[in-house]
Amino acid sequence: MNMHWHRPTVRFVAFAAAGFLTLSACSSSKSTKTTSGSSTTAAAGGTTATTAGGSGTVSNDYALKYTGGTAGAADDSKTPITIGFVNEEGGVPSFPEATQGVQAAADYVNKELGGVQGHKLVLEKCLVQTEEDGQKCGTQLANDPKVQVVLTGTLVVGNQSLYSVLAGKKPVIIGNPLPAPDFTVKGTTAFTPGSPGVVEGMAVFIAKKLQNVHKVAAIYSNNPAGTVAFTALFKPILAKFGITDVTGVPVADTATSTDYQQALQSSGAAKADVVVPLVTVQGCIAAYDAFQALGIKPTTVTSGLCFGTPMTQHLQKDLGLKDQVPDGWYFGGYGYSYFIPDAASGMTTYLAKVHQYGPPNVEYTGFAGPDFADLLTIVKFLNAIGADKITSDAINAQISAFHGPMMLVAGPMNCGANPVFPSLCGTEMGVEQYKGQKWSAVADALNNSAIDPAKA
Amino acid sequence: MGPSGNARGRLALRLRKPLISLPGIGVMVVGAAVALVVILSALSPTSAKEQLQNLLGGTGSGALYAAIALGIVLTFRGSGVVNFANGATAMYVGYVYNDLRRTGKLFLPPLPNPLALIQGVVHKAGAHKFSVLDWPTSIDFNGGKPFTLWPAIVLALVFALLLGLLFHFLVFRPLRHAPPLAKVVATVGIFLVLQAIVVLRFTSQAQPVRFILKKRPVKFPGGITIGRDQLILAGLVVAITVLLWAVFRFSRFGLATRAAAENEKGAVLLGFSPEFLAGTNWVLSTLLAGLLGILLASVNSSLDPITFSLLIVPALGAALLGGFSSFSITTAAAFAIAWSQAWLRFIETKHWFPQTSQGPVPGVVEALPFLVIVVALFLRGRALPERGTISSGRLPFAPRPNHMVVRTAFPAAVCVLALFTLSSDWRLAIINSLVGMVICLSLVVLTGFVGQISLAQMTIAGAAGFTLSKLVTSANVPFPLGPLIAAIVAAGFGLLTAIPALRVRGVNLAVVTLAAAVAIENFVFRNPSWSGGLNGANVGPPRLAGLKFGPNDVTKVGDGKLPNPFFGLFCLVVVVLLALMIVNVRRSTTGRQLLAVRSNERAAAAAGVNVAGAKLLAFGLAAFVAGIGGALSGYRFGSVTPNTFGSIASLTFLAFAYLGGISSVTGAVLGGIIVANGVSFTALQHWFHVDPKFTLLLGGLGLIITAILNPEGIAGAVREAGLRLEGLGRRRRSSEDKTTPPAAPADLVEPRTLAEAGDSA
Repeated sequence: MNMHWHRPTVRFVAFAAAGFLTLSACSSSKSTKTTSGSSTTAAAGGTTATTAGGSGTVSNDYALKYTGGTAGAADDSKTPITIGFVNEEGGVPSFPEATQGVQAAADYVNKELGGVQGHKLVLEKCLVQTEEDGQKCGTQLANDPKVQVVLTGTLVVGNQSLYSVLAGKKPVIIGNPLPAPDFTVKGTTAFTPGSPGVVEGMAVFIAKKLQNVHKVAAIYSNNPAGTVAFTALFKPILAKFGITDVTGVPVADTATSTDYQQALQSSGAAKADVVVPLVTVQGCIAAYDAFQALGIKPTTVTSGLCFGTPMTQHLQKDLGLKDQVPDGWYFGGYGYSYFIPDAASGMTTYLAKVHQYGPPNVEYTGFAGPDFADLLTIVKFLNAIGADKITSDAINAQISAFHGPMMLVAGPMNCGANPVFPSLCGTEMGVEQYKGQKWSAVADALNNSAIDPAKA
Repeated sequence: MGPSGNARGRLALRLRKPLISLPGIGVMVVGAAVALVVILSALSPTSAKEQLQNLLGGTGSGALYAAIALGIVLTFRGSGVVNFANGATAMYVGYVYNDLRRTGKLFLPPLPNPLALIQGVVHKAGAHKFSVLDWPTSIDFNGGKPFTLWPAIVLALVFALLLGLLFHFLVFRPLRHAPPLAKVVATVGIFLVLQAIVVLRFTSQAQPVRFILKKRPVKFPGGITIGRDQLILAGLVVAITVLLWAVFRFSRFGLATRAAAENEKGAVLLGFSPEFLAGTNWVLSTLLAGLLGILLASVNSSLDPITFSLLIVPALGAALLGGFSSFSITTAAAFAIAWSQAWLRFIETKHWFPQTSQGPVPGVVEALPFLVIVVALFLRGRALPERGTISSGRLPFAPRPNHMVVRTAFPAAVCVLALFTLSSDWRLAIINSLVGMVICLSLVVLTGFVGQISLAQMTIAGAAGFTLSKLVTSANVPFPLGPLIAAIVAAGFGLLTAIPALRVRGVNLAVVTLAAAVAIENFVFRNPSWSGGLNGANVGPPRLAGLKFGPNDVTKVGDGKLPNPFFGLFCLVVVVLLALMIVNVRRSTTGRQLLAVRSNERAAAAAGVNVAGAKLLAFGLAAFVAGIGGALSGYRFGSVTPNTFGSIASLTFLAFAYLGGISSVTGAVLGGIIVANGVSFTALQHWFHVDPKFTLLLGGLGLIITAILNPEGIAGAVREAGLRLEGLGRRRRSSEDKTTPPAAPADLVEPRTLAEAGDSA
């Protein structure tokens, strides 16, 4: 029998009883400032760098052109430029991959893209688990004069209190818009089509690209994001195309395979032409298991939330399959694919750099990508403004003038044009399929057939 | 003219008698569920086969509910404790099993390394290379290799056995003569600690669990399909039910446990040790919870810290239907609840089901356990049998406040100074603490003064928050009318919650209020017509005569940063006003009546106190105060969300209120100081670098320790220390005078009248 130990991080001397509360495990405070945390040796800009994730070599040309940066490392002697970053981590649900993506991007910019005109980028991170945390992060970043722009990772809680403090005071760029406030609050911006665009696009895909669909069964998360996705976005689009036999069943965020079996039966999944799980990756795993338990294999259309390491581990380690994701499923996303990388969208650059600067086994398929791209887009704006002229107003002006192309996202950007969802700039989405252990572009920017729900 | 006190007492006693027998209730509930299905099936155009298929789809959930409920019944029969942490125990053992299966290691709780202090001191002295032994994080039993199935199960069950012994010897044995409130609080503390350990070790993300039973369909005649794993699990739960029934019916141990449950004194006289029986039942209960936790995790193919823990609500409903004594009725009720929920979930998808702007009316399925519990309690009156314990401990002391001017003005002045001089993060912490104090004050009225355990205070606060949002956004109701109306609406919710309290008390009431919290959260807060739909439930900042004092209004006073110190000042004024109001209630005849009801309802009724009226008053007043807290919370965030006012938040607030001292205004103030994101945790974070993620763990541990060692909370400990110092001073003076004996403090004088008895209750 062996004991496994960890070394206590002693930050200071504490006396008497109070010292006992100095918990050995609490080596990180909730709000931290970090610059480059990677020990990887980066190649000089303009040349090529070997990636740690096995994605081969990639040039910095795309990123230098996209950001308007200069090859080389940032100058440590220059005053750093601080960007606020807020993400939901540590609670249920939790999205650490968004932080990993944005940190990898910051490291990449500092090591290879010359920072912002030589100035190092610093992320002032603030993590959220509750509504109180959202307000705390908003207050902290609003009060910090060094922070002129705030980027978010993924928030399903705390966004309302965060935006109530920040909106109108400093530009807020939403990395992964999910619940309603992410696309309805004025004064915030998302350079993606967000869940509204993806979910509406999935409905268009089902109605126009799949054959003979009459009955659709959906399972959606019983939270504001899931409810809005199904009732306000998904169902009305299907109805518009004449598909009215649509059944949706809400499931709790923590629903298990047992709950999903029940929900699938209630939705009539066994007889549906298409089944649509609008849930997180854990929900997708439970839904897949429920399919097996009920002995059904329906045509399944879902979002990019359903792929990722947990799904692959479950299929390969727990079930002994060779599949990366469930065979035959369709996945909606932002128009490009992590599994069919192309250079023009910046995907190959992203994959190489997120593996190089991210932690080992980084979850690169989820919310990391949009945040990586958003940070490079912010750097683009800051380079255009000039390091010594950065203000919130100047950044807002850059946001308004930005019409794309956006890294990793298909289609033009049109910020503020959507009257219902004023924060959303993206307009197009795409669908890929995994079949026979291979990915293929079905309706996305890779085969020039990305879906614009507004024009469908 | 109403009936006399004695008549009312007799009426109350009559009302408390069960209207129907225990098996009768089980049969009635199952029968009612079947009848409902049959009636609605007849009305519905959907085929009977389809309805049966969907009804049986709840078999797996029924097994989950039954598994947790059986553990609750077992613990209650053995020790008289309603274990709110039974689901959390199943979850914890599930994690132990899963870790053994995946890594071969037993994880250890993330406790502080006491040697770190020595290392720090030595480093401070200049010896920077000195290092002490590291603190273990896990024990490797298998050389770093994962365990196979059976060794992992056996080791996990050994761990469950030890956990049961720990629960008994460290927590519930010391609490065996404590009042129900202390036991409830202790189980809530265990719930929080187990959950916090798992979150700290594994994060809150669901962990995949390897199947024990492969996922395959079982097809029945008529095309009905059920998952094989669900059927096996259900069969196992039924088998365990039969086994438990046989043990308690025929074995000497079972008979002794039943005897002790009926009459502890009698059991002692017959030579049985109630403590041994309680300990054995705790071990049995955690073993059962552990075994089923392992199986449930496998069937669910995932584990997370929340799901099992929250199964406690329907499980409590089933246990209550079984009268906390019948294993078979408990299991039957669990399946009936789950099947009804599954069928309702199917019915929800039909076009004729009542709709909102965003789909079917939400929360109907989640509200079902609450309805079952209320119906069961109404039919039985006093569902939970009283145990014939040797003695029951006294409730926390509720002192009569004095020196109010000094005790109010001084802390208020300190708070004002802090709001306008300290940095913004401290200011935010003070505001969070002030809002927390309001919720804690509401618990002082309800639990501290009247002894009613409510696990729904945050839900009631939420009712006010959502009402305020509607009033502000839809009707433009101005400040301060908006929050006042919202608090009155909350008082209405409080009175509704009070209706069951007229028939039940103690732990039963806690169960009812917890179920009510879940029902209101899902039925009301998640209803788009309340929650604001797409745009959310926003709350605009407060404005009065041109004054802007919302938290995000910028002011030039102070450092000019957010949050606005004037919002803090506004919160402080509210806290002071409410505290003075509650102090006056405590000092008045009404306060003495409330305390008399807390001490002994029958005696209070005999003395002419209107028990029902006192309870209604307390519930209404407490809900009004909580409503003000909900309104402040809405202003603080600029919006209200269901998550802020969920059932877990209510549990946590009860914990903080109890820690502070649930029976005094001072205790509420201290409770507010220690809430999450409040002053104390900000201090721990700033001064001792304690990460806020340890809030739940420290809160839970503090709760258990307080329940065992110091039921009167921090406020009680401070008061006692003060009294001892005062006594010491008096003794010293008297020894100097050697003339007059020292007078006892006013609070400790033996009461001479009933009114004074209320004061000393």
